[in-house]
Amino acid sequence: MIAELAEIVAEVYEYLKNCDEVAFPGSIRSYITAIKDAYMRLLLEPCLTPEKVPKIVSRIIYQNISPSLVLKKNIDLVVEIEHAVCRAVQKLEQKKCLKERTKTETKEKSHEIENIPWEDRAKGLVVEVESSLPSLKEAPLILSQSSLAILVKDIDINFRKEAKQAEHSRDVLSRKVFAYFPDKSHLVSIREYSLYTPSMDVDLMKTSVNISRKKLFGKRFSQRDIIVREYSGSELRNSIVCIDVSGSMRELEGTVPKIELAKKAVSKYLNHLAHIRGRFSLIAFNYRAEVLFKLEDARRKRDKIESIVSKLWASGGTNLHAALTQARNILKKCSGKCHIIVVSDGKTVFKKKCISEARILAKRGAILSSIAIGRSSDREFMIKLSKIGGGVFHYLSSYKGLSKALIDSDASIRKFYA
Amino acid sequence: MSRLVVKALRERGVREILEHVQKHLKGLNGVVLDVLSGLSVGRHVWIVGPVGCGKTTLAETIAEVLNLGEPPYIEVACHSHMTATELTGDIDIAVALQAGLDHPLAYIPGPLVLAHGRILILDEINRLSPYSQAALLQALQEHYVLIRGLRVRSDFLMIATGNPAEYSGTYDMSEALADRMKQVEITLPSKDILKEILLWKARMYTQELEAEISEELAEVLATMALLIRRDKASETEPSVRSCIYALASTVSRAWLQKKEPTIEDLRREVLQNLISLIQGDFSSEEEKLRYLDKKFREALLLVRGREH
Repeated sequence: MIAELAEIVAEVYEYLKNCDEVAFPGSIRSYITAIKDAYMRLLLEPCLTPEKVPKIVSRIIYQNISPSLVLKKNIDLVVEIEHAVCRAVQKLEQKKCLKERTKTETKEKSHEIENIPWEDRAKGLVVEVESSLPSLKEAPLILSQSSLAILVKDIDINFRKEAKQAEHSRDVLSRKVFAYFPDKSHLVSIREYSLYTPSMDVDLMKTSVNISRKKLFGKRFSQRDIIVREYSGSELRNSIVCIDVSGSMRELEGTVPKIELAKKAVSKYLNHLAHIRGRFSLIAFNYRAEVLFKLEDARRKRDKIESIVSKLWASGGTNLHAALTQARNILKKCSGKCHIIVVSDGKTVFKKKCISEARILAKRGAILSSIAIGRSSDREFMIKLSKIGGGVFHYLSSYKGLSKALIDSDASIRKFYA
Repeated sequence: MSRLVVKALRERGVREILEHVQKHLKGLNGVVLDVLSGLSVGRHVWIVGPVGCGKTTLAETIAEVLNLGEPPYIEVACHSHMTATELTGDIDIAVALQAGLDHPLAYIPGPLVLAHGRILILDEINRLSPYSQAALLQALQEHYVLIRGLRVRSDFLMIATGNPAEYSGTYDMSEALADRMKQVEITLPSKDILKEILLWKARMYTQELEAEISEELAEVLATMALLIRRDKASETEPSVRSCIYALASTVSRAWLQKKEPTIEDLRREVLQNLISLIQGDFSSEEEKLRYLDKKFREALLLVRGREH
């Protein structure tokens, strides 16, 4: 604040010095005190508004410099000073704008996504989608920039960063303590302790409760009290759900729109994934496909994922091909097997492209399952997709069974690949 | 010193200070804040305004409300024959020779030294001769006073009052002195505020008489003050003080005669109270009287015309 006031006062000094009617622009002492005085006066003002500031500042400057100022001709000094102050304020604002612009420019230049503000990130996402859909460039933005920006803001976590940190800490642990630190995934059984059980599988909470209880009653404890949770060693932990959010999802089923039912199903499926410690990614597609979040730990990020899912809405046409392309993009960056579940009525544009995309996905090692919903759905096409992808096919007449179908297809695939 | 002022501001709060000032003066909130902001950064303040617009009262009220010491302020009424030693104080040579310099009576302190740690009010500072103005320079900036070669520390904040340079009996302020002060101008109040002030103050002065003051009288008086202010024939303008007393004495005179105050009473009082203030291109006292009378009638017509 004081620096800005100093700039304003300096501007006034410069102006009066160059003014023809002014013989002596006033002493430096008076200008110095004018800065302090103006600052104090602004503090004292009971209800300060931006419009008042230039007036107050120019009046205070006038009060301070007028005793030592010498004029050649009679001019309205107050008005002159006010002009100078207004000009200085404008200059300051321009400077600020420039600074902000250069800041954003430098930000854009840097490729670190973490540092880019969420709005820019959202814009970037949209641009990416646009470039992947050259033929549909004229199509209206269905998931508009602002809505997507809200979604991205809600996530507002540096997913990637955290994952990296976690991986790093795990590396350190495994190097120092264990030769092998197994990833916990699907829970297989809970049993008592036996020899050669890895110590990491011991359920410390339950064991400690058991032992303390025994101790309290003065009883001896045995290996029965040590509880072991066994997890499956399955590598298949990543699931990508491509959900249809086209305009047809707005239709009512009973009294509830289909999209609401789909949302509920997705959140139930999320619970299931959280239970088995899966990783989850959601792609919503209509004309275009948006990756709402890339593979995230369903257990840790459940609340945030749910909050994103709850904001889904339906509009536009159907383009499954875009969704599959996005899925492939995710696939590039993930490790281990990936299960892609497509939920749609199968009425999509670019069917041939979809099938070729499914082939590519299968080649890359992904498993593609499909769930066709509705009596009028294109079942043949969906079956074809699942066959190519090596997954399972479900047919549902209504959205009510969607959560069960999702969980079922996931479980059967897991069993198969375990 | 500025720290003390800021502390006082923090303790009392700006709003409370403004409320306190409003008990004595109305319509000067902006000026009060200007003065306070100057004082709180250690700047001396020079309040400039025409006669009788409340400069001295404002300075006293602000010094009172800040209450930096006991007494809160030292006030000096400046005049052209004031000497530098009158401001700084002097050593009584006779006592000093007999009882030594450390005797309590050896040094008679002046207001500049007495004001240490509080506020010094210099009333009508531009009536000081350039010679005594120079005595202030050191005290204002360097915070010490030289008395016969002895350096006496004296840290104070000054609120000076003064009339604009065109008033009679004033000296030019030396540039060095003017540069050490912030100049805060008080302008005469607008008509509505003037009317309010007139009623308020006149009622305050005639409280004991328990007499009613009609708003019409104040309205006429305020309109007349405005007319004279706008007119170029008169160089000076009727002060707020004289207007207040014109109104108050109208009421008291009516009270003496045991009747209600009338416009005619007011006219007589206006002529008596304001005649000495009006200066301008008038050849005689009678012309001045005629001028005032004319303006009063104009104001009366204006007010009555508006009422109808």
